[in-house]
Amino acid sequence: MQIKKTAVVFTCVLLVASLLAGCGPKKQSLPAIRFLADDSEAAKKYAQGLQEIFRKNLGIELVLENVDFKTRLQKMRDQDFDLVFAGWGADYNDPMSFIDLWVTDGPYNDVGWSNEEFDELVTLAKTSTDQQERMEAMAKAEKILLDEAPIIPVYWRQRNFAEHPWAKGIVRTAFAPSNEWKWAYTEGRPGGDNELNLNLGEEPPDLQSVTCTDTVSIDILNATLEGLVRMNPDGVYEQGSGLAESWTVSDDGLVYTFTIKDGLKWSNGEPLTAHDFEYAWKTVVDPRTASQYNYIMFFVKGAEDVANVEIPDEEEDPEGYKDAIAELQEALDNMGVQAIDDNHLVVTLEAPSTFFLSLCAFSTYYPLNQKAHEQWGEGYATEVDKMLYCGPFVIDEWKHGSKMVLKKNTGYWDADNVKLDSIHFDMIKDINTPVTMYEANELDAIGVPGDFIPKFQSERPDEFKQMPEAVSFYLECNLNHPLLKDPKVRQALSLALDRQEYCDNVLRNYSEPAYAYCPPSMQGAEPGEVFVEKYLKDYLPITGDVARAQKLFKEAVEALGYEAPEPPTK
Amino acid sequence: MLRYNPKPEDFIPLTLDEKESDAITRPPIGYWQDVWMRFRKNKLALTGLAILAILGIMAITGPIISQWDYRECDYGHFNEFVSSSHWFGTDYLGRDMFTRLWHGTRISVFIGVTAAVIDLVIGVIWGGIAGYFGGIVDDIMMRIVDILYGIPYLLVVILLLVVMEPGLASIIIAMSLTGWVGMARLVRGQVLQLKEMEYVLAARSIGASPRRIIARHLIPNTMGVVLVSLTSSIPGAIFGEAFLSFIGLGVPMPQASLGTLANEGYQVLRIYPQNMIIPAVAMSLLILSFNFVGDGLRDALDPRLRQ
Amino acid sequence: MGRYILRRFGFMLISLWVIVTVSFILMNAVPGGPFTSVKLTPLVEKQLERKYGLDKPRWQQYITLLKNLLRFDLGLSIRERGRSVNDIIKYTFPTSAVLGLEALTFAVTLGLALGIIAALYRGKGLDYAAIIIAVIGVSIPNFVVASILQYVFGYKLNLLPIARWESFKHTILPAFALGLGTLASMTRMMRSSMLEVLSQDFIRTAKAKGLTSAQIIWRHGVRNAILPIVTILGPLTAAITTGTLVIERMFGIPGLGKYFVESIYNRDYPMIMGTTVFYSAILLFMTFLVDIAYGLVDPRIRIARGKGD
Repeated sequence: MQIKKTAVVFTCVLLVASLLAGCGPKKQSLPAIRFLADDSEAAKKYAQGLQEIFRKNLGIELVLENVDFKTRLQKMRDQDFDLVFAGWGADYNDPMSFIDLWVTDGPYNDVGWSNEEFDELVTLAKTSTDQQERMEAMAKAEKILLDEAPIIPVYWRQRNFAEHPWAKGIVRTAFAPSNEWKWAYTEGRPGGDNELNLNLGEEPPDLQSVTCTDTVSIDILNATLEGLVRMNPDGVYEQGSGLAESWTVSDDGLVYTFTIKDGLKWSNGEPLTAHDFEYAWKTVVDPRTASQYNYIMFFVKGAEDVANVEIPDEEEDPEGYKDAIAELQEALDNMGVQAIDDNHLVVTLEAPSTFFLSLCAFSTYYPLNQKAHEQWGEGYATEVDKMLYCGPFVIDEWKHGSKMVLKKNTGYWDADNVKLDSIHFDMIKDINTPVTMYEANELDAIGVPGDFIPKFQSERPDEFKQMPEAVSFYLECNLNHPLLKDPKVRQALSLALDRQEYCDNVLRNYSEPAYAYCPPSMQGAEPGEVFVEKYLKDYLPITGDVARAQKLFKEAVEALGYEAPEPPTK
Repeated sequence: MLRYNPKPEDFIPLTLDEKESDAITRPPIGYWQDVWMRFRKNKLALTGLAILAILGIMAITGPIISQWDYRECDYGHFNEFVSSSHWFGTDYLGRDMFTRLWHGTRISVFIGVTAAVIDLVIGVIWGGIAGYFGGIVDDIMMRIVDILYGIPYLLVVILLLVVMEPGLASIIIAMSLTGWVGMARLVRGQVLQLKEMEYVLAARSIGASPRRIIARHLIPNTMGVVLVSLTSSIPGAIFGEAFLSFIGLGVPMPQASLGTLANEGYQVLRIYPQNMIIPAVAMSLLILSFNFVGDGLRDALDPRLRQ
Repeated sequence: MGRYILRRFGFMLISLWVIVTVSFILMNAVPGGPFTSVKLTPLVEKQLERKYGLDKPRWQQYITLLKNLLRFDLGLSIRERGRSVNDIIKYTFPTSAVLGLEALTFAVTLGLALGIIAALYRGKGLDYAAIIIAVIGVSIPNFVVASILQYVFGYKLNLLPIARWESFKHTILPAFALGLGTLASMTRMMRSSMLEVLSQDFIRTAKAKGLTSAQIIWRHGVRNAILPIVTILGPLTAAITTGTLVIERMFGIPGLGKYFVESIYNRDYPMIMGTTVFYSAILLFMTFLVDIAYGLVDPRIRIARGKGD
């Protein structure tokens, strides 16, 4: 009897207690945050390091989703992510190459972020000719971006490489082409001088300058072709450095007149003229070429109109096709590039640009011989003898997927300054093999994979070097996520991220903690001035501010009606 | 002529012992007991079994006795060599290799056994039905098997893994999807032979249903061969997962399998060889012992090899 | 026999069609497309799809694919711009085949020898030695073997090249690393097959007839024991001559293997289809050949099949 009574009382107490518990303001547990990242070995480690930092500092557990590169891009495009580890590399040396990604409805604005003031500042920076004004506008825009934090900058990558002491004069830049071999030479090379053995890592997928987008192909093209200008080893674009002898610019900065050098020849002996440039540039934007880098040509007047012509299928709609071709022809005729004779090329720009000359050194702007291009059609530049050369080197041998040999181009206008006789490239994708080959002196220079840094530091400190890259890595937040839609939550994430610790302890590859979004390799108002250093130095605390982050996160999360997690104490 | 008449004294009653001398004193030896007896004599197989047992115990207790969590990063101690606080050293993120190794063993064995068992179940049912019924049923079923056999395994697995959400389940499904085919062929071949046996005929003539014949007579009698094949398909699946890890499709982070561990170690082989050697040795031991056990089992199961 | 061959051949074609269809469906289910890249704009994507005929409805693409396959035209690779898939296969397959066959020759000859020795000395030291070699071969992943070989023979001893694909010398290390696994399974199979044959009655008869043991082993043992191994030789050849991915990557060998994986990562649809069809065709054809050869060699099979059909 006694026992029964106790049981009844106990049950009642339990019932009341559970009722009371249900009464107060109901707190839901935190919704999961999925964290999308690539699935390469390195990317997995980096993502996991980040997951660990957020777990330690905020007590949240990101759900890792490592997928292959293209799946990630597709998911980003479909906004099928909560948080994603993404990166962007510059196309040209101006902060705009990074900033204009985030304008409202921009093609790369995966997070769907929109801010009117930001948009206005970007438009101002795009149209102004006053460098100072432009830089200030972009700096202000970047501050808005960092405050609203639809993206959270994490780090700026460095490039690590090693070269033997006898390999000299290879110019490495933060922008494509990343390796310039024109001025390379050797001194006391064990296998004989004036030769280099290097590893490309893979078969160059596309050696057609008008469509090529990948760094491997761009490096090869830079060695075998040449634009109107070529960057000097000290990073400037001088008159006469490329195929143009000189140029003049109109007072409003819109019209460039290039004089092409006399007596230039393609590798088959045909003369190389201003017409080859006109043909190439028009081919880049022609919708039938479907070149991914056509937007780099959009600085030229009327280029975008050409690219926007929609051409229907010839068989399905012959009438529409004919009309579209006529429209295309008209747009091409109106495009601001014209060879007035064999030696003169007149280029009209959409708006004055401070970096147009650097673009003229880029592979998309290289010349193309119409006859050869049409003769080989789709097969152009797929074999040694199906392409023409006009740069410091020609391709002598190309065994697909295995090796490529470049030989000095004796017909090159500046052949006297090319010291190398040949460059032998392997295409080995593996990580360990090239290191072993480098140690055996079978390769003269290699990129050093992250894991090998300590080894090179201790064993070959004089051969191991770093340089900055024009690449920025950041987290993108899905603004529809129940937590991430709140700017405070995003700021808390940004503050909780101890970027210094992340670079020192997880990446360990000399990457720089990002205190802003644009990497320091982007130039400011004048050469030598670093944009972020001048305008945004330490805008984000690189060691984070964990206490503030925890407070901010707790407030924001509770205001949203969720229970804030307790960070682990340790 | 001398005749002898037996007298009662000539007869002595049997003693208790003698009475029982006709009975079978040794307990009857069943098929499996017989197998075990022969298996026991095989030193290699026994060693394999012992190693498997040790690995199994370590996989269960290893992560428990370690003071580290398998995913916990000990910042400042990266790629460290064997020490008193990290018994097998640490990896790139400062995670304890001892804990990760046994955690990985667990996952690898889990993948191997699950994939192999799925293969076994589907394969035995499929092969059993095809083999028993023969004719058009067999033809259709085996043509399906042949087609699946012709599909490049790698292609299907990779495509599936890219299509599905990454995870343990996806890996097991992808591997089983084409993996059961071999088992089905094997079982069918066996059943084709067995169904001509007299005892099957006997069962059929007393009206046993096909289900009963397959389940009670045919499948149990193919078990020997199937078991041997199982001991080679478990290491096969473990290897398969290791290969997938090598091309970046292994178990998702921060989980670990022996394959992902070996692959992570491979990235740093030239600098911190212990990070690859330890998981590689564990994997080799695991596969080695499965193979030894498999060989031993096959020898033990095949009475013709009896000497 | 003629009808049988014809049937098998017809079946081969049907299998191939099923494989193409399944691959087509799977391939299109993978997220992202051949042009997906960080800097792709929707405008160019549309232009590219038009150019490669990917803007057409799926069923139309499928019909075009089948039509082209009937003409043995695998189309243009999207990733390696301007090169046809036929050319890429024509260029890379011989390399893979040379490597594969070299590995196979080494693995089969040595594997058979080891297997025979192990069987003859069953339960003795030599048997254990062979088993241990075999099992170690099966249980060490080939990328481990390969990097050890590279380090020891290429770098430390400087006897053989570390990588590259130029002369016979360059093929030794990769062929060895590739063949080791097969060598091991060959040994195990030959051993058990040999043991089984040696316990048969006709061996006893042969012994009773007073044949020398060498004659028994060769004429009656090995010849019969090798039969089951022939059956797996077909698929094995197909697998080893195309599935050399890991080894190719490590030694920088321009073979077909890498395309199996990379074409999927690159969403290079024509290349995925090309490698699939090519591989399946080889595999099916090898199985077909082996079936027929086996049918010719072993009359029992023919009878059993006749019944089964």
